Amino acid sequence: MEKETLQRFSGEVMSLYALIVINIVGAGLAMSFGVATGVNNIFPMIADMRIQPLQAALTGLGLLGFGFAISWLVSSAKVFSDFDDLRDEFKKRRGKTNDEEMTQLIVQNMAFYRDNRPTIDRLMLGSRAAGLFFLLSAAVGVFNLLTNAPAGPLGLLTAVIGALICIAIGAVGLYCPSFFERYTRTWEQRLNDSVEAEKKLNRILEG
Amino acid sequence: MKGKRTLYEIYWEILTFCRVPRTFTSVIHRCSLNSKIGQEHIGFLLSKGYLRNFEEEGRSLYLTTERAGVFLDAFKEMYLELYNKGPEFKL
Repeated sequence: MEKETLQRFSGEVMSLYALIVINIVGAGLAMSFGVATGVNNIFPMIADMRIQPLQAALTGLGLLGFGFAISWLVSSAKVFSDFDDLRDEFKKRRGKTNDEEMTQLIVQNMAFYRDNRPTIDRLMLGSRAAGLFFLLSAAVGVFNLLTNAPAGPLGLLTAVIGALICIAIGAVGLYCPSFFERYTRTWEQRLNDSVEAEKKLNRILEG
Repeated sequence: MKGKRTLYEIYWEILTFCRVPRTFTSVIHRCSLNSKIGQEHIGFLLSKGYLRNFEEEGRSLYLTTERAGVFLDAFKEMYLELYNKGPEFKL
């Protein structure tokens, strides 16, 4: 029983750790790319002293994406910070595989989940919003490429790479929350089961 | 331990920590409780006979009694079961 629980624990800790790291990297990339998109499109307008609708749209999308990416990053960092404490506890207790240590880890995990449930919701929202903005930004970029392709191979290559990065960040942003949903489903189920357990424990205490 | 815990989880934590004699301060520190709440929980466990209080070298100590075994065993069994029976989270 202890070995099985430990293996399950180990797998879940590794999976959640990887997921949070992916989110931090994704949010960091989204932030930097949001700034780059905004700045790259706003400077030509400033230089020309003229507002180009497409560049203005890309600037807006880049800056909005940057805003959502910050929210995504802050939520990811908050979850990471709390989860890191839990991971340290797990590492400390990994050698002592008795029922009591395992129970302690389960209780700590439940407390972590209860504490971080709202942050995980914000993280999923930030991730989805940033993903959506980057896909929109990619669509605008592709439209720009088709209607007003930059002159020269370097300009064309840069525009294509830019659109591809937007698509990649957008896809990560939109897809990551589905893993968190899987995580929350697993823990919601456990919390629901714990309500039944609490009733039994209450009977023992009153007995 | 930090974080949101249920009453039963706090009781379990106090009782497992007090398997060896502990002072009030060490209990509330370990279980991240404030003094008032810690007093309430310890008072409840004393009233149920799950904890006993005694003096040693001028210090007031708390120790988990054998009577708490039923609660501790049931808690452990239920939590291990609820953790293991559901689907596992994997990427």
